[in-house]
Amino acid sequence: MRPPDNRRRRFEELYQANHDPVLGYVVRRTANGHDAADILAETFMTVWRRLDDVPAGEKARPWLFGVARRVLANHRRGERRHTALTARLASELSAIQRQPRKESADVDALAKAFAELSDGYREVLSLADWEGMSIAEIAVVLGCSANAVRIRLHRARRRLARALSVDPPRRAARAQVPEGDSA
Amino acid sequence: MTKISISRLNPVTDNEIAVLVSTEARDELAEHITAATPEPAPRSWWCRRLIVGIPLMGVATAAAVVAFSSGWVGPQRAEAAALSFQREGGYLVVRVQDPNADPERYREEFQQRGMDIHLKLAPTSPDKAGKVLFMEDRDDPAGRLEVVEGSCGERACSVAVKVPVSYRSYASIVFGRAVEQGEMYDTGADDEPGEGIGLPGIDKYTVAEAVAILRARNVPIEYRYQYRGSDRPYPNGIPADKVDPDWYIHEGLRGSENQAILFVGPEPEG
Repeated sequence: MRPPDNRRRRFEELYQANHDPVLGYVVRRTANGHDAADILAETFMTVWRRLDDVPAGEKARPWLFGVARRVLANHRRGERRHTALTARLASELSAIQRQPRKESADVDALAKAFAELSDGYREVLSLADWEGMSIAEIAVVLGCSANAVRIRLHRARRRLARALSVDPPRRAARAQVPEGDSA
Repeated sequence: MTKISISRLNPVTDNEIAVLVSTEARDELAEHITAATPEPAPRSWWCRRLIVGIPLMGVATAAAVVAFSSGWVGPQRAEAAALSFQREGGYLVVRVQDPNADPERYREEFQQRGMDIHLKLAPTSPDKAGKVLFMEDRDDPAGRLEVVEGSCGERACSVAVKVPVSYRSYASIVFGRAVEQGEMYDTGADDEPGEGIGLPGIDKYTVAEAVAILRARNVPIEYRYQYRGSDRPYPNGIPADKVDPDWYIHEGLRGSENQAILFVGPEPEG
């Protein structure tokens, strides 16, 4: 039985709107084009299978990122599912050349500090700064509360700042007792 | 306020991504995917369903399940069962008997029936109590879980999970429940620091400014201390008379008694 047209239309809308963001997410987290192609294809295969579960509106994209994240994790665990769908894609993505950039010393230091963070901290930071996601969106990707994301992000940035020793100068604490408020 | 960003480390820009794949390759992938009639995902596949505060089944259904919850096969132990299990057609209807039970007890009771289901009740705001906050399940030949939302207080809870009798895959479900005295909400849909206490962007206020606003609203205030990643020397909260009015606010959360809990420190959030 062929899927009804509206199902296909819904998928195509999701695909058009999210292909590049999901591809970006995947490319930034994979070592080579073949892996990126597999993960991208597997992610959208899942979207097709799970079309009824994809939330409407703005929540669709973080939901898709959540799927891509899971596919990526499975991939890293060795559960690779190569598909025949991706030959052309894999060949095009294999052309990605990561030119070693000439980085300034402060970028090197930032890269080193970032690399030394735990996976969880790197994940929230990269979702926020590379994927430009809001806290609410990251919460959907990671499947946790917005507060948990906010706290993790806050701690991640703080750790980064401490590693770079660029904490802003401490304000002089006042000796006077402020207006009282019972704790 | 200094905010360290890793944007500069981004390995590939959005503009580079946009031209990475040809239109042909892009269309070909979509065509291949949609050419296949959707089939059930392989069993090992994880499916994450995030359902935040959306009623899944009608109140009438919830009531019907509640009416039948007479404890199908209670666990054989001295303490009261944390869950009740009742057979209904091809499903086991699993109801929460004790919303305050240790989640480990729920897990054990599921385990006694050969099920790997992790259930948790998280303290939340009244409008989310009894709603599903999070759900994650795997595909299973037996079918999928269904949840029955209801009301959920400190002592009684009418939420339920309908599990296909032979479901053996992993699942994790979090329902919201009413907070106990002194508890903080575990979940929130806030987007900005302070939104939960009606002061979005609170990290831009000084303590004195935020306190003035909250006082005008008669909101009680508690403080937590944060300095360079540590809460020392005030791990249990800093007394108000030790808080400098010029200090920075990092976050403001709502406590279970509607008090504002302000995370403050002598430095801005890093």
